[in-house]
Amino acid sequence: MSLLPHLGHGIGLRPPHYPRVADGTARVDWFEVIAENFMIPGGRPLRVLEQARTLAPVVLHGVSMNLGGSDPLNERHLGELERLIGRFEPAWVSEHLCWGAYGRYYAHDLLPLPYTDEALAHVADRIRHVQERLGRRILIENVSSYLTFTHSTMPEWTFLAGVAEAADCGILLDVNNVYVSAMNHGFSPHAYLAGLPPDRIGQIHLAGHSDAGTHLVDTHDHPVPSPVWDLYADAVRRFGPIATLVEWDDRIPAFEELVAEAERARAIEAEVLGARRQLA
Amino acid sequence: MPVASLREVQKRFWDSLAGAAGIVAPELADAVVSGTTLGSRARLGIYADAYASRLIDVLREDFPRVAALLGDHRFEHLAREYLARHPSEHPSVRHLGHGMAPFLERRSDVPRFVAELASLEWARVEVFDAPDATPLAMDHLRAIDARDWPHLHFVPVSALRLVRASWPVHELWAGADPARLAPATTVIRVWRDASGAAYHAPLDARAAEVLRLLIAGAPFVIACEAFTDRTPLEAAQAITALLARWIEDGIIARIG
Repeated sequence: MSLLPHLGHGIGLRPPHYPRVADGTARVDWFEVIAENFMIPGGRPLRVLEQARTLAPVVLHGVSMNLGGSDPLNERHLGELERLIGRFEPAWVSEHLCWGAYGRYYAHDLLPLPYTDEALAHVADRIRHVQERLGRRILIENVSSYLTFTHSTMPEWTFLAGVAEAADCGILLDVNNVYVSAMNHGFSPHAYLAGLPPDRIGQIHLAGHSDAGTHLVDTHDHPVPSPVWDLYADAVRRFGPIATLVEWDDRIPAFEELVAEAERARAIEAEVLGARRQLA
Repeated sequence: MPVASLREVQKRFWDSLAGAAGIVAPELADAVVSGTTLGSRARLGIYADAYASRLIDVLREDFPRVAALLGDHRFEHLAREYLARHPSEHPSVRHLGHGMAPFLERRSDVPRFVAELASLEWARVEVFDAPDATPLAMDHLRAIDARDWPHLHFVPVSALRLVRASWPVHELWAGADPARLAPATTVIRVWRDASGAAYHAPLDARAAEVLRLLIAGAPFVIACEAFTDRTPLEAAQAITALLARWIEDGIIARIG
């Protein structure tokens, strides 16, 4: 049983597709938007988001909360997020399990944490604070990584599961990030999924990546590749039907191509669940 | 060896991203797992390269004409120096370029018109997401009693900026060759239209003065002083013509 309602198979809404929202032809199960892009006083993006929520449910996905950071949480930023939530009433809110700021400066990147008891307690504490402030449970997303720390004492999936349990939050499972990190660090992506608590998975992300030769890069500029689709099928098998979203942030294709990726996710989910029902 | 705290690790990691290029503290390199295809420094380098390239891309998007004028190599070099002095202080990357024009202005190796072009481009960024306002309609203007005009305040929308320059930077923005331009005192209004798109247009000296006064909150009668060399009737006619144009462009929010 999923933590959150199964909204179906949506897409990340980015500026090239704003005209399709504005003219009402953006037909999709649901939209996810980057929260920080709408923390602005006015202008077209806010109007587009108002229009988007008349077409389909909207989810806010944050990138700069710095949940794993050692600076104090930015309460002003949380206040802006609160205002966005109040105005746009998202189905839910998500953030990343990472850090991205130090000494009040922002890297605008999703930087990796050491998987230690210290970091786990620290992040869980901050997530609890955020949830109290926002008055809602949030989802935290696993990020792609290109390094791990020698002083980590547990695998990433144990850390993610531990944080979710300790903070009583949900998990946004980014299947592409699991695959990218698995290839970069040499662990089994299926072992990763097996280590997660099914009752905390609230959403799934799908995306494409690039091969840099020595490592994979989470570029979000390609179609979802076959191994990620295969891993998604495994996730559906393990966790059941979960709201799924396709992200595409660079070299963004036509709206129809993006929606076709979401439709493929729908088909895979139906196939996996159909096979599971037959077995039962 | 004692394990570094989360704070210590993040301090060293941050320094490897935003500090002097390629400098990685030995303690940080030792704290990162080396693999068969990539060593710890190479892995940290992936993040350092991504930090610079992502933020330079943001600056290139916000200052496309400056980037084109300087060329890729020079722009990237300046952008790196800018980032070293002005790391992002805001959770939204939208604010990253706020200090770019003053940064360029302070440099003796950058022509002044480049810094002024950056001011114009940044004004376009600012009006794009400035607070919304319902612009005044022409009908409002027609309905005003002639006796009320002197005391009226025409309040501009928030999505309006005046850019002052010593070069005709709007021509540079449009692609003019700087070698063919001469310095000229220039005032440009930058605004957002109803569709949300940013526009800009040069103002002559009188129009610039009127708009400056209106933005400063001056009543109509004071704004008329920009036309002291004309009869009061001519001044009023000239200003109402300007107002009509600005109302059509949607930059007057209300009458106060």
